[in-house]
Amino acid sequence: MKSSKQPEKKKQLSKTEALLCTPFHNEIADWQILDSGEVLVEYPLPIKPLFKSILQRFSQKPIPTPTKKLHLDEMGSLVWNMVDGEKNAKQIIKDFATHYSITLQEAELSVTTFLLELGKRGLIGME
Amino acid sequence: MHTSSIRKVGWNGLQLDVPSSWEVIVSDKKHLLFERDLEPVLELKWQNLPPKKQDKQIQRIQQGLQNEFGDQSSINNKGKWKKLFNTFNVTPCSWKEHSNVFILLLDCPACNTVLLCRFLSFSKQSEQEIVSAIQSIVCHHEEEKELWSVLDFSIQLPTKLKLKTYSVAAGFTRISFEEKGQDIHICRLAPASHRLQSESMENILTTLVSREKYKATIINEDNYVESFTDPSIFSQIMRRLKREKPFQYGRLWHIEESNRLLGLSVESIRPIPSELVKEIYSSYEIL
Repeated sequence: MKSSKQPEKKKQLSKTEALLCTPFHNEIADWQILDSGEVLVEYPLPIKPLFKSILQRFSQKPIPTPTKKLHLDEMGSLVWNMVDGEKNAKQIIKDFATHYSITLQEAELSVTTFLLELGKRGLIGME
Repeated sequence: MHTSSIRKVGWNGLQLDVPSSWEVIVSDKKHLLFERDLEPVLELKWQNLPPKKQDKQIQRIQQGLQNEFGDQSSINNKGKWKKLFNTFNVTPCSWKEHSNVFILLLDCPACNTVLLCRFLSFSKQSEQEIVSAIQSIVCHHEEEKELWSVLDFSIQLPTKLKLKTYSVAAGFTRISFEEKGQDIHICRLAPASHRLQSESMENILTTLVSREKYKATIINEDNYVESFTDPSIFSQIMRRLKREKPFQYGRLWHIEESNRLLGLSVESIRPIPSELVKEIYSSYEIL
């Protein structure tokens, strides 16, 4: 018999609520500011345990966790630097729009897409 | 008392005056969203219908709203809304269970436009601003030119042009129109300084008008670049056979004070009248 319990749907945040969230850098991300002012982020690549165990069989030494480097351009670096765990997304969008003298709509589009991409890679979290 | 300046917004046949502090977001060809400080204030959706279908469509919209929000609650003071409007027939709708849902359905008997106006902010100041904005809506006019003004630009275009596609991406807006055998594209790039750091205006124009295919004459001045094709009869026939538009015109110019690049590109099966392009680009401006 099928269980009558339905899994609870996650409450989707409204846009206003989402923009009040504060992004922060995740600890897994190791980053540095280059001489050009751009940011280079290095983060570990997740490997499935199965692949890891297969790789381990062929190697005598412990396998180092592979990492990936992400070189942010000028705009990306600016947003990365604005993510300080204090400013919320709305404030970042406003600052970004002022810095590049673009409209709020454009800033919102680029900043939210960028934050989403960083979130997917696990480089930032939201609280 | 809070006072704010007013700006005129125009998009696909609809014009209205809104406070300058509102941002206009184009959600679809006939769908606008207005925000203040990244918070939604007002949503407008509209349709033009044949007169016979107008009543049915209004009923269908009401049915759709009922399915979404449940039964409507009665509006005590319908007159409050109705007396505001001389142009439109007004149907106010609100819902008991959703105190934050209030919608005005407007239908214009003159041009058979049905408009759905959803209030998304309920402070007293917002309500006043929303009502003033809705009151200023113009959905039909007799003029030969029509205003298109969203984001931070404004342009007057011939009314006969039909909106084909649009895209609002970060730093790049493009709107395409069509008329018999003629496509007109307008675009806006921001911030110009950032764009011009990595590319010349001529290169940007080449990308915008995909000019590599054709030999074009280029005029490169200090703050604008122009290109146009003048194909031979043979070349015209060949391009028409390939279903391409042989006549092309492109112009990109730099508005230094507002740090924007504005572009105009026209493709046509006939020679492009210089008066038309001049009229268009001279009305294209940053607000």
